[in-house]
Amino acid sequence: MAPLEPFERVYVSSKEFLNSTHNAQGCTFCHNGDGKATDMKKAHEGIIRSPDEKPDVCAQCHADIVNRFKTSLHMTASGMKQPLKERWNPDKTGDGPKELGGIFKGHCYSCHASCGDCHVNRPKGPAKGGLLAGHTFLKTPPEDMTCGICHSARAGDEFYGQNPGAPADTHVRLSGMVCLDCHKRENALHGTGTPLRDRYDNPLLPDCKECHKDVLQGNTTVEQHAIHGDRLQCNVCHSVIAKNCKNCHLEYKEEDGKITARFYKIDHSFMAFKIGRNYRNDRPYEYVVVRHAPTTPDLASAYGPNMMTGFNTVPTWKYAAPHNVQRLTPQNRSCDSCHGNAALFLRKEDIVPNELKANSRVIVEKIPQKTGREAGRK
Amino acid sequence: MKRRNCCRLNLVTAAVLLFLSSLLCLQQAKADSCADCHTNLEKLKSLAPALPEPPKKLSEGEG
Repeated sequence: MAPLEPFERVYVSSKEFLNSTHNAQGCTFCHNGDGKATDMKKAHEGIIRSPDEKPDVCAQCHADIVNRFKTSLHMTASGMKQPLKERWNPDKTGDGPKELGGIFKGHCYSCHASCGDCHVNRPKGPAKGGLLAGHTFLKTPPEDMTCGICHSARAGDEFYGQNPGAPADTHVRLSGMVCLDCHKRENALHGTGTPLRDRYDNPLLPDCKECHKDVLQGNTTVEQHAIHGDRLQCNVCHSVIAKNCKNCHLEYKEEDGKITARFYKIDHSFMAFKIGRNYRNDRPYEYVVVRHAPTTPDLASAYGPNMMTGFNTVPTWKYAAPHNVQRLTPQNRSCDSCHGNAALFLRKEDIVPNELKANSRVIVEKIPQKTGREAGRK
Repeated sequence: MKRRNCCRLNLVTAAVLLFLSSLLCLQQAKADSCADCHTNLEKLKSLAPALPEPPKKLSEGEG
């Protein structure tokens, strides 16, 4: 999606907004600045570009949602912060510009979403912001201009079949489903009221079995479901090749001892489908799909030596749910499409040497043996 | 008859209230000078070089 020109991003074109409750108090009520000034510079003094960054503005009317939203992963970006924190050197966890707090805020946290990033603006990231509909507050924003912008690299491109060699998810291909059909705003998007470690920590996460009740053990006519039961995450059989990040390096530019820009150096991603051993205690599975996270032992080495002394405590091949679900996949065509097929499993040789220790719990040492059976899905 | 008059009165009251509230909204929008520029695309375009840019964030490789 082409970014808007800077002047287009601040063009309030919506008459609906001008006559709405959200404009009843005037611009400066939310944005500050000097509403009486006629000089542009003076008018913008003290301006708040995104009033929802202090969410109490929204809370004046939407207190319940805002209070829950404060705990949501969209707001806290905890899914990025937690693994970083666990890997980080405990001596460098302060808020200084070259410590965990400052680095997280300057890099990862720039991807968090506030109320307006979905309901008023295009997200700041790749779309570079700008109003969605001339400043009208959209209760249900267009997914391609909101969810799809931030989550395009993995979930979005997977779901809509934008990755080479991977078809679109069957839920959109055959049923025309959209993000909100599974990711209900009351369950996940606005938070639960309890801080979460990451998205899999959410007890209200979408669950395939909510709709596909017939796959439950004892309630299935599919032999493979009865055999594997809860030992396999659904995606092990029903997802296909997906995007993996190779690494991520946090870099910065400094002038006169002050950091003037923070940026990333990232090698190109790669496509892979890997099954690893489940390392999460909150999941019953034995095998799960894993994908490589955007991290590396020297992630923050530009900021100094020994920044990630705990690197080996968290796997870099992480539990994943690729959003490209298919009924039939290369690995579920027959028993031995998967059993004995070493290429599907995460093995030592798939892992760069300096990440072997971090992934020791995920590596599949012993590939499930061939069965010799021809049975498979028709 | 009495009932019809009552309905008519309610309708008139509603219309007056609607008019007053939209007037109030317009008044609010015009209460500050922000709208003079931010609702005028041509004016914003002419001011474009002077528009403040968000702090630069460089990135290399693939996001």
